[in-house]
Amino acid sequence: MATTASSGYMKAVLDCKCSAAEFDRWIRPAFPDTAPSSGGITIVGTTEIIHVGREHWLVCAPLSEEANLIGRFRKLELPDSVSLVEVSDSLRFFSFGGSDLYERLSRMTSLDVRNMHMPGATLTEAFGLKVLLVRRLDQFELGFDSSYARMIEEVLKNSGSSFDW
Amino acid sequence: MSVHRLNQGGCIDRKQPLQFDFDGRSYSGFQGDTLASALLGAGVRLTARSFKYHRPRGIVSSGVEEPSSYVHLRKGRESGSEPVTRVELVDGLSARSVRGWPSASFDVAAAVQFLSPLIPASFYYKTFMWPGWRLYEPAIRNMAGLAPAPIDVATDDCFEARDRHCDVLVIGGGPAGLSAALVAARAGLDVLVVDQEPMVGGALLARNLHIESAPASHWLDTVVAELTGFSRVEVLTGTVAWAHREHNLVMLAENKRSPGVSMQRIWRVRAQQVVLATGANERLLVFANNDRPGIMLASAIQAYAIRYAVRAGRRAVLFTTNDSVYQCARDLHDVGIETAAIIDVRDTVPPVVQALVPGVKVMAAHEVYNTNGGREISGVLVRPVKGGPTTRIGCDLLGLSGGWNPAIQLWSQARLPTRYCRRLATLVPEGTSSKVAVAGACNGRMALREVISDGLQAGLEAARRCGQEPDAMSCPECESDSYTIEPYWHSGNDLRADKAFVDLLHDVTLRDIHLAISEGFAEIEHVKRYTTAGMALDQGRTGNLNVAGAVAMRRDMEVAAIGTTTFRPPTVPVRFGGLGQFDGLKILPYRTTPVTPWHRNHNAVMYEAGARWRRPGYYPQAGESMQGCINREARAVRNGLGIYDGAPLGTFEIQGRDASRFLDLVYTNVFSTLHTGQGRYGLMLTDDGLILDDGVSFCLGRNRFLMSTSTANAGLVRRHMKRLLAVDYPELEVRITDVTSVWMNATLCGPLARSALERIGTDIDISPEAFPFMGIRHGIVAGFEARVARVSFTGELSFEINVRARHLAELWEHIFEVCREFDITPIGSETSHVLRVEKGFLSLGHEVDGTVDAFDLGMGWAMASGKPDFIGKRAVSIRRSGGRCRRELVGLWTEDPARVDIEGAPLVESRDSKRSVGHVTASVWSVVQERAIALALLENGRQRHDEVILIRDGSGLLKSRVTAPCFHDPKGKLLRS
Repeated sequence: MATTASSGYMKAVLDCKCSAAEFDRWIRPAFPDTAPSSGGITIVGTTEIIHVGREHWLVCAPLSEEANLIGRFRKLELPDSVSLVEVSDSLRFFSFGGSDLYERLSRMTSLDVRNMHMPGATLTEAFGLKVLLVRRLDQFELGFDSSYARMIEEVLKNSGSSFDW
Repeated sequence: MSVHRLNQGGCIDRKQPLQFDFDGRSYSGFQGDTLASALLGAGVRLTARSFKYHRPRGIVSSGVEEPSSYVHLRKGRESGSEPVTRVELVDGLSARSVRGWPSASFDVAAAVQFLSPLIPASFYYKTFMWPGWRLYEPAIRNMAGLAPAPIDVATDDCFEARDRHCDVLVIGGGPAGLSAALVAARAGLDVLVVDQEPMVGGALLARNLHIESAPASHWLDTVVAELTGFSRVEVLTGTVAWAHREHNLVMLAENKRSPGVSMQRIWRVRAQQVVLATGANERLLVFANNDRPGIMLASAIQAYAIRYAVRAGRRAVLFTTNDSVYQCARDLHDVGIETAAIIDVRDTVPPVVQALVPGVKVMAAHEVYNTNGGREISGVLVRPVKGGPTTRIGCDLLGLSGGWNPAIQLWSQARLPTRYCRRLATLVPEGTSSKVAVAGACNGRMALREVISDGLQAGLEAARRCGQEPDAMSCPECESDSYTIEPYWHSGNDLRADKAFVDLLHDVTLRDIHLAISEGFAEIEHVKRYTTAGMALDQGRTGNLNVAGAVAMRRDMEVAAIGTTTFRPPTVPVRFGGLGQFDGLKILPYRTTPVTPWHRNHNAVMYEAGARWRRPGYYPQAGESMQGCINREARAVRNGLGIYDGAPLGTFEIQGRDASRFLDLVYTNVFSTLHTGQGRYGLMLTDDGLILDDGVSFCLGRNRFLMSTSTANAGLVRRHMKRLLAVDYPELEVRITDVTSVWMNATLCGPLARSALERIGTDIDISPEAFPFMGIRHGIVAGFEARVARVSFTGELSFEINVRARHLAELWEHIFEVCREFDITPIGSETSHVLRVEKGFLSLGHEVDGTVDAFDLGMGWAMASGKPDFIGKRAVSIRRSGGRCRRELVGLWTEDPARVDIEGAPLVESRDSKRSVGHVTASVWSVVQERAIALALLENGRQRHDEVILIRDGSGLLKSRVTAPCFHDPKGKLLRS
């Protein structure tokens, strides 16, 4: 079975920048019953809190839950030191799965994606572009700046919809 | 089947014959052949002409170390110089020797041999000087050198690039490498094994050796079967490691062929541990006329016989300094090649190796000092090393073994040391490394048992460093083979030193080495550059140490003291398509907006407009010229309603306790005084006071701003701001979020913009009183949440309607639907350029060229003198305090009102002036002025209004009058309306 790739899709995404202490004080309480973090990702129901860098998180949920996600913070008077920006439109995601997945990923990114080496999610580079790479059970999800979405779709289309080269 | 091809044996498939042509003649070979083995199998011995002297040459080796026969390929596989030993034979192959006209076999230029005394090394610095070198150069270059660059594109080629990570990378699939890989694999590690040949086995494929009392091939099959059974082991054949970079990044080139397709895949491999098992190369011996066709490396004769079932000759003489030739002679006997004599320079030959060749005449303490023959060798001249009577021995094959050089290129590239080993008379790796192990012949182990044992040990070390504790493996019983050697660099007192070659590929002789030293170029690096020895495609694999030995003998020094030259990547030639990773999957990145399909559907001519954005340049209608289209679009903006896709504009949300202080720092003017909903145009400078970028920033709330930048510089500005916060001002609490792709805008511009926005529908009060210029308002537009900004890059009333990117396409369509009555016109970047020139607005790359500051551009109003500090303030002050004449922004009225093609032209003060006093930065046709207008940077420009200045363009001098740099609405009433 060759690798399959989805066409680009959006998610609800909040970009949060603050100190770890402020994150725990202002953002985490909005998500009770949080499962332990693993490899940089904390899963709360259908929401994922991804730690992407120093004092930088992305809070992601299915697009259908965007209003709900934003609504958790709309009434809060966050201090100036906590930056929480709605950036759903800035990312376009593509999922890749299949038996040749690792082989195909080797053409996209130089990141070591072998299980024991890669955290659950990380910012890295693919096709020469900055990308959010998230490991799923049998898949990888790559989030590109949405302005590159057409380019990514063209690359995937030219290589065959199932990476058949 | 020719007499040169054995009826059985070898790794070829006799059921798959292949046809090929070489120098215009047709031959046949078999699947599994290289071009070299096929030519030898067809009895072709003269396959090349030498680099400089056009001497007849043949095939010397069987691998990448080939120093003599190179071809360029044709018919779909166009390439430059390829060694015949590395060209896989395929049906229909067409090859031509790189020198020799009309062919290597018959070469008109061979007459140049008679000029050889006139053209020693570096002759081009001393001869052919009058009347000038250029007179002779074309002819000399035509006659010498390698294959020309191919004119036709190789249609078979395809390239790919991949990344790979592994625990252990084993380079070399011979007995040492396979042993190391097996240890690591059994320890459960992720192992990648690479070998440059189409199959693993290394030297075992080319020699008849025994392991555990059975042919070595049995051991090989068992090991390979076990290795390939591990799920975490990958074996890549036809793959050569061509560079060893820092932190164990190893570059590989994997070559694969299928009918009509020749693929090179470049691998970037990061390995936790690297095991180098790259083997060793046999070296040639130096004596007069040591380059005739039929003179080969002894191991090559053996390899062709065993691996390719080819007899390179019928009667051989072997000339050696070491033990390895004796096993070679034994193997040659088995395939019917008679060994007439073994000439051994050593005083005593170990009995154990002599016993391998009973009946073969061994002449110890003798040397070959010359050869006979014309187009191929016919005999050798032998004498005692210490002098004495000479003997001639007739032969059609001479095998040379001057010793074995470990292939240490990759070890050396990893910046690991080497040393000269007297016992082995060669360079070997020295010391240890925590990340690189070396094994087998590459590590100076020449006997089979030592090789395998060394490989097992290397695998053990690599596995331990990866955190595993593998089981020890015992070395199998191997056929006893020894290796001793006597250093020997060339026959002494050689009267024919001008015909004794130390580097075959560059035609460098022993005499050239002596000449270099006598002229003062005595250090090995100087000898190399003076003579070009070791600088050819073979990288001197078979001769470098002979050069060092010759220098040592001439200078009466130890070889160890001579040193060696530097190994640099690539270790083998790599195709440019591979180097450039010309991968069909990768394309030049580009960015689009949600409205891009609409632009294409409406005939827009698309440009790349900076930062990889594809933007519409203009929207020509049927029968319209480019200028006609731009004029139409510009008139629409000036007189009615235009719209452009402003989505690529860089935008950032700046938030934090110190956000306003930060903006005051990065901009020349004051932002901390802005109220919510207000905006201001700002200039951003570099540390040296030059303009980095400009844009409008709005206050969205307490300590929250929306910054816009130019499209092309968004990335640069972001990096600039992040560096300031990380390095120079870490105490500032500021958060920056890129929202360029979040909020995207459609900008209405023109006198009808307000009316159009009312028609589109909004709950924002857009009256001039409620919504002044440089304001931003939140609300609903056409049913979408929006941020509307009053900015203007065209000089007209404008509303920048920002909506979430997902809504932009729908908003755009809606605007066109409801604004038909306004004759709304989409405009592209060409028209934007015209409109901004009419207003005298600056453009990065035109007026902002890295030499001017804000004052030069008449923007001193943006430099807040009252601010205590901002980036670049001090530098501007220092630069201007020198009192030097500055180029200042002006407008130009050209005498010829139709001339627009003068952008970039220099300005001069008079016809005879040689010095330019400025240049034209922009030149357009103005729909407002109905004539050409231009902007320029002119020395003391502001003092020179109404003066006449000359524009020097390609056709002559054009008069123009200097004026203020604004041709429309100088007071800005329209954009503030």
